[in-house]
Amino acid sequence: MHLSRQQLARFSRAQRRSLQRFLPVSLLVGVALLHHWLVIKDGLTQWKGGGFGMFSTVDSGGTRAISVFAKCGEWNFRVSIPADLRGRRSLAKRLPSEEIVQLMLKDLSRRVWVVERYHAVPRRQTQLGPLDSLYLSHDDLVSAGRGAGRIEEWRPDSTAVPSYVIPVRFEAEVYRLEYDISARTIRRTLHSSYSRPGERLEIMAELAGLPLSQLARNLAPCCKP
Amino acid sequence: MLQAVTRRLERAIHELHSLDPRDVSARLTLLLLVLYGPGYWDLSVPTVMLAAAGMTIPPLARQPYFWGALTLIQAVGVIPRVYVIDNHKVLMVYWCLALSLSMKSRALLAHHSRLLIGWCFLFAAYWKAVTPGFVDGSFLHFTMLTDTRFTGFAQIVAGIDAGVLDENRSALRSTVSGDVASARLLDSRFAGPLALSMTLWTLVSEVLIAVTFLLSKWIRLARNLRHVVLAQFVCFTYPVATVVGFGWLLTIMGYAQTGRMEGRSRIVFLGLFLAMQLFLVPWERLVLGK
Repeated sequence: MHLSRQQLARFSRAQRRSLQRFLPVSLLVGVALLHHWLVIKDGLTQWKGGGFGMFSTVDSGGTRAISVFAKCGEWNFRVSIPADLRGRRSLAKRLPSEEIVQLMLKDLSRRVWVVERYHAVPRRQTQLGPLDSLYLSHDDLVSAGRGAGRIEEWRPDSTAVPSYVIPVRFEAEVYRLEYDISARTIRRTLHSSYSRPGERLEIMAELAGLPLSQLARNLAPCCKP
Repeated sequence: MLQAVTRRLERAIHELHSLDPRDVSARLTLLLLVLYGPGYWDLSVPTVMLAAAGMTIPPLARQPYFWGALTLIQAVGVIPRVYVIDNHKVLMVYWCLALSLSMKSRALLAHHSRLLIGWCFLFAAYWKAVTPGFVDGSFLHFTMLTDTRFTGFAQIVAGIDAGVLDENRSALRSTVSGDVASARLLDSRFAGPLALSMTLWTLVSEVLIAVTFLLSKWIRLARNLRHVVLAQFVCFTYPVATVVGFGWLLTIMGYAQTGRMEGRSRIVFLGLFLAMQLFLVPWERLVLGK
């Protein structure tokens, strides 16, 4: 079927007119439908994402929490998220999809960690120093990392406090808030959890030109007292 | 003397009636972008620069490409942050786009305003209706007891003491951070019934706004009622939940979709736009002296 030049011009004019009439609202509806899908699929908070579900639920970005733990041998550390990852944490709280949380964990898993605070029961006050590159005996190992993160000691009954940590696994837990109006009670509940192996040892082995097994043996246990 | 004042007032109202909604909407939107625009420096700096230029040189604010540039800036800044940014900042992008597309037609601007308001409220009403925690009044009850934006209302109308609100917020922080597994919130005897009636009113108002704005082209009753339902929603919502940026955007869009014969509605929306600043006054401190 051939269209004449006039017909083509008329057709494109009509298209332009409908685009002009319906583009803003089409975008609004399209984004809102995507928001709906992400709320169902990935647990996006109703408050954000252009779906206009604000002021409809107590489950907002402000009432969600994400806790990250670093596992290392029999140690289990609570990780305080470094400042440069706060934006990613904020996103992960509001949209805790596998991809977004894993992206944050990947970044964490490539860092060298130092113990920031030692929680001795009942006092929670011992502050430990920052990362000391001497422990690693290879400047590149440190400079290749994307800055040292900080870790809070998690097990209150431990006596030996490690100085630096190369975690073998990272775990993230996303919590939501629930409100029971009849009992006037708020409660934090676990929504989802994710985990990822630590990658720091592999990076160090590659930089030091050593086989992973040898490095792992040299550095064992991964928490160096 | 009285006659002179009345005459001046009548003249002012007549002038207000004769203003082109595109000019007024454009100017008010520029003010909105400057005062309640995106809170990120990379977005704010170019937005404020352009908005200031538009306010200084009024013909500029009537150019589609000017609004196209503002739309582009907003979109580039908002899209990567869409999952953390407030919904009305996203709505501002659509509104800037609507302005850029309809600077040559007053009717087209009204058409965009009606559709944006209608669909926005349709989704808002949908989420409230399908969320059990909203329908049973839990959400507004919780919000009244903990949200800082509801402080004035909670103290003056619900009669909740400032100390109680502080305790609730502290309990909320401890629960969210995991220091405690659960906590009990304190309230007043009015808070429960008040939250329930507010829930019902919000849901009904939002459904009515969506229906009247989306059907106003075909149903006369919807066309006649739409301004009343939107104006009463703004009147009662924003003194309680003081999200003035969203309130301003709604009144601008409300103003922009008024017809030639709807001069009174236009004045109501302009009045609401101005009055909304009063909602920011810390009334609880003035009234209760605390």
